[in-house]
Amino acid sequence: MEAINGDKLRGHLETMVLSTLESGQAHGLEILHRLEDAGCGQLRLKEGSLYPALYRLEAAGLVKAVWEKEQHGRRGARRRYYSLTPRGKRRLNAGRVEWQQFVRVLGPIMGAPV
Amino acid sequence: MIESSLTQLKIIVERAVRPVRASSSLKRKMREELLAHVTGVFEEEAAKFSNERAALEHTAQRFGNPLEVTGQLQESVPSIDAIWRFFEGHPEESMLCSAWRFVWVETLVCLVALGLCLFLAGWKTPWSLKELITVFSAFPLIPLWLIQIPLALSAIALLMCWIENSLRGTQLLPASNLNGLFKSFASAWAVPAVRRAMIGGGVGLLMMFMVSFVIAQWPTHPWGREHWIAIFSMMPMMSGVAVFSVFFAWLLVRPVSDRRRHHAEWSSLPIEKASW
Repeated sequence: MEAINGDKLRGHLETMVLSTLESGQAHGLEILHRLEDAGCGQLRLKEGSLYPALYRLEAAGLVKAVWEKEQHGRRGARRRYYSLTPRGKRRLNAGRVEWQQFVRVLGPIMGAPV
Repeated sequence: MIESSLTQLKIIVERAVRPVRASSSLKRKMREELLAHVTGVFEEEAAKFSNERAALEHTAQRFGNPLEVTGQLQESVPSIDAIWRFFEGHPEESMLCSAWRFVWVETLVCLVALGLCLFLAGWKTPWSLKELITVFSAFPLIPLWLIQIPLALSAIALLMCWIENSLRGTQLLPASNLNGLFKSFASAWAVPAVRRAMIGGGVGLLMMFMVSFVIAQWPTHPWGREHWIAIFSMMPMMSGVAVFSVFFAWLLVRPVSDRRRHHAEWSSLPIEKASW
């Protein structure tokens, strides 16, 4: 099966990121691993694109971020840990409802009812 | 990880971040976070390939097209960041430029605050023209707001330039809380050039404050013993203000100096073509 890449994910990436944060706070690379694990290896993201999405979510108050205090032996830079805000949880629930409706409406049109 | 690999990882990040039009502090945040990301990816790839060159190539591929990432990062810059960009100025502009921008913006803020105070004071009982003239003439309001405050701010701006020049090449301690801030100040104070700038600037500010006090008093207070006592009794307070001003100048210089060092480090990276 062909992998799902960045273009097909457009418009859904932010809800997907919110969904990965439901299981607890995570830094960017961990969010990416969670997305890939949940996508069973069928998801191909250009990794640099994840951070603009995280910044947009942060600016909208849907996630909050804190810098890690130590680099844990890694050279170069600190990571930022993201977690869901109450507003982000509400947005995630709304995003799930929208997605279910989207699939319910488009599925029969595509000849692939749910 | 060897030093050259870390530099190559920085180049991957810098290709995407450098063209973004954003404040230095926002770009710094992007750089640090993206560098932490590509470092993590590089470690994963290095474990797979046991060849740093191949690991670097795969890291760059996973990161994506820098042009696309630049566009997406640009879209994520909030509009309020334009205000920060204005206050921070360009990282390559001279400290004098930044300092003068600080002077005129602060003067403008003071004048707006004055206007607001007068407006609020006259809100309940509107002032007549006669009352307004009385307020302005009874207190040295115009000289204070139009001459003394801009003059004091200009002196602080010059002191900022002096401290910033003396801080070049000095690594300041990071400060995440008040205690850290005082430790950072102490580390700066330990540098002889910075100490000279602070003491010289503080004495200069004290003299300027005293002279402006004397000038403000002069038309109404003729020279005499009482006038001298009044001048000397102001010395402790003026000294306190001068010490506070030095600390304030250092507080303003600290992030500027830090930003310049960060900008110098990243802007020297050659981002034009792949170099591995």
